[in-house]
Amino acid sequence: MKLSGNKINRLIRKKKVSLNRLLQKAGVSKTAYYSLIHKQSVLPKSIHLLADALGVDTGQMLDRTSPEINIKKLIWQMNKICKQFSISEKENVWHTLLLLQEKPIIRLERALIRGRKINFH
Amino acid sequence: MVEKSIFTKKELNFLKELKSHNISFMIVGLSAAALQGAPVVTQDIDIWFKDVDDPSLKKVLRKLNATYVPPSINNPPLIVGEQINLFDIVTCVHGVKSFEEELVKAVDIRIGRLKIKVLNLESIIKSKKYLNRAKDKLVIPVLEDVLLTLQNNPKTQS
Repeated sequence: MKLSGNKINRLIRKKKVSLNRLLQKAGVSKTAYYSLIHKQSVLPKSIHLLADALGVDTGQMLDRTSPEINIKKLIWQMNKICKQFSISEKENVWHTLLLLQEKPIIRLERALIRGRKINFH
Repeated sequence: MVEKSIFTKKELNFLKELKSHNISFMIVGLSAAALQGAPVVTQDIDIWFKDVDDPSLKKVLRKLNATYVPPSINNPPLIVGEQINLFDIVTCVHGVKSFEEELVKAVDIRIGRLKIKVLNLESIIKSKKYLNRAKDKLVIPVLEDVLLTLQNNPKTQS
């Protein structure tokens, strides 16, 4: 995976900052930056070795989603479901979507821990 | 705050023993709903066995120093033992079809390395509506919202 100097230039133009300002803000030296730009890959060699062993592209092994993107996706899903159907409480949809991000055993654990604390059911 | 784990290796071991002895069972009730993503609370894990008189079940319980207490005027059916105190036995689930018919529609849920049958959410809702207790009336709208969410979520759409 190569760092794209062109893409970075486009972004700094869009954000109306200079490269010097960006590097200063990020705490990255010019030497480090140009070294990264000229590298064939910014990923450690071992990742390429793993990808080669699997016979796949390195991109297929990387998790591209950030927590922020995930939350936005979930909010979008929640709003879509609530708009389409007669939902009694938006919160129910939201909490379900959050729980679906967890393994079933974690979902059950949470239900049990809370149930035993409040002695409700 | 780190919460102490409730569902431990002991509980997992019980499920593992049930499976390895080919005992037919499924998890029902609100624990089944929770496994499928419902934001509900529960105090125990309800298990519906096809046949509580299955000798293999008795063998498993003996192995785990547990015992089955049949229902009487003083108590519902119980399984008692230190390794299984999170579990409650259910001999009949009201408002749904027979065990065999529900097993066909049951959801496969992965718990650890095990694949466990869990009563599907539609049947759980039917059961709660049938029972119609005060606590069931509170939870039915939640379960209905969950069902709609599952049916319209790309991850869980059938």
